[in-house]
Amino acid sequence: MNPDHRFCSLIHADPHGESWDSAVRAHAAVCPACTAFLRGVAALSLRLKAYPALNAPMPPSLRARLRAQLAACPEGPAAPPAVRRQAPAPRRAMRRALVPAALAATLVLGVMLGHNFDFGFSRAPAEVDRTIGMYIQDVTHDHYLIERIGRPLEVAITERGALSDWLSASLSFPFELPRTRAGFKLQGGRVWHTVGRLAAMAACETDGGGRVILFAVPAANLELRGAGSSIIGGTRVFSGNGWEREARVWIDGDLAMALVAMEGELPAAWAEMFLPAGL
Amino acid sequence: MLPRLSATEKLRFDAEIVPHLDVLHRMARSVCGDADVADDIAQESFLKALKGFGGLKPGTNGRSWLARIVHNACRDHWRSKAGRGDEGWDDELQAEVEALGAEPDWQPGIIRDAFDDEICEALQALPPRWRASVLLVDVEGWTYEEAAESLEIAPGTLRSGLHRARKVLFARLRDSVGARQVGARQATQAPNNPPDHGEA
Repeated sequence: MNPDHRFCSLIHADPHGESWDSAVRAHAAVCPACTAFLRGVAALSLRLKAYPALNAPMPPSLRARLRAQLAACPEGPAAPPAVRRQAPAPRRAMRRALVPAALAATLVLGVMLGHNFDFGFSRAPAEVDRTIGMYIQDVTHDHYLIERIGRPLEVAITERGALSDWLSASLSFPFELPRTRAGFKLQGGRVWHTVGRLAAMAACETDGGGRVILFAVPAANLELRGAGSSIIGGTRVFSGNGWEREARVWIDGDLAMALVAMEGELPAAWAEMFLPAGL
Repeated sequence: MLPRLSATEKLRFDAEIVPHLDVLHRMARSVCGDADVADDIAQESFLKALKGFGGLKPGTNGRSWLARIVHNACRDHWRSKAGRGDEGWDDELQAEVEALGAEPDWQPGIIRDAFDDEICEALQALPPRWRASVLLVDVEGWTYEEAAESLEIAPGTLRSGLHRARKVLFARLRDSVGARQVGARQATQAPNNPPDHGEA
């Protein structure tokens, strides 16, 4: 046994072993006082984790209210942080005068590119202009982001009904996860924001260890154009690529569903497995 | 008033901050000890996070940043409550630890047997800062570095304070569980004197 009490104090200050080297680890294994202490701390930690108030999720009503506030934030460039005002130098003043003109030009160019040079000045509000093609671009980009974040799931609920309930309580629309055929194991989900609206997101693990992600947004004001489509099992399924991955989109009741695979092409049969049964 | 956020910022906020709402609420509840106050603090902290998000550099640890906001909101609430300032917020527990004398008996069985109300009582007796430390490190599994950043103290201060907090917590649970078990033994050893159930 190593009687070095410096190790004991190190272990007492860091029972989770973040800063231990091999000598401290060896001491922890043989010192009776340290072993008893570590067992005690582990028991305390376990007991605290089981205490309801320390592992309860946020109340769903509060979560929904906070999410609604995020969704209600007006979109646009954030106000710049307050800085001390300076008298503009002549060249800076000229550059400043050019900024609105550059912004206006960018806006016009964006509108032209976004609408294939179709100047529809009398068109309805921007949300009407969302198309299936944009949805596919957004979900594939979201998917790219989700992979980079690394921890995409907000809840690890693996039961279909429970996850549907949780998502519905967190969203501004009722949502029911489609029944999948065999081969897809539900991993959990989260609330997301895509194609300019709140979205439900659920992840499923495939038999081969891959993962597919299902998005759902209200289909209102989503124009059914911008991507090729085919009829699968009686349902019109749109497909398109973006961000090195493929998405398939279909309308299920009031919702537009999108399925994206982790990488590469999405096997056509997979989308079929999520389509409403009996069609 | 809600701040203006770009679509990308909303997406980033949703990805980097929203997943930590549960921890935000648990921290507020554990520090303030009241579910309604925790709701108010969570709401207030969320709005502060929305307003400050534009200034958060990409790559910054979102949950630690959010925890710092919650911690400060809890401290503001503590200060405003009966106008007591910071008194008692981060008491170092020196007197309690000295009163314990030797190391407590770290017997795991006693802790496993603790009832929820005994856990609650022992936690509430800790100063708020150390309650938050226990939650972040021992329950949520955050590193000392990350928890210390959120609580705006040095990691060394967190380590030593947390050790004292665990000692005090352990000793209180040992006392309350021990007293209950002794009471139960006495009740079973004295069958001729059944406990008073309040009947007239």
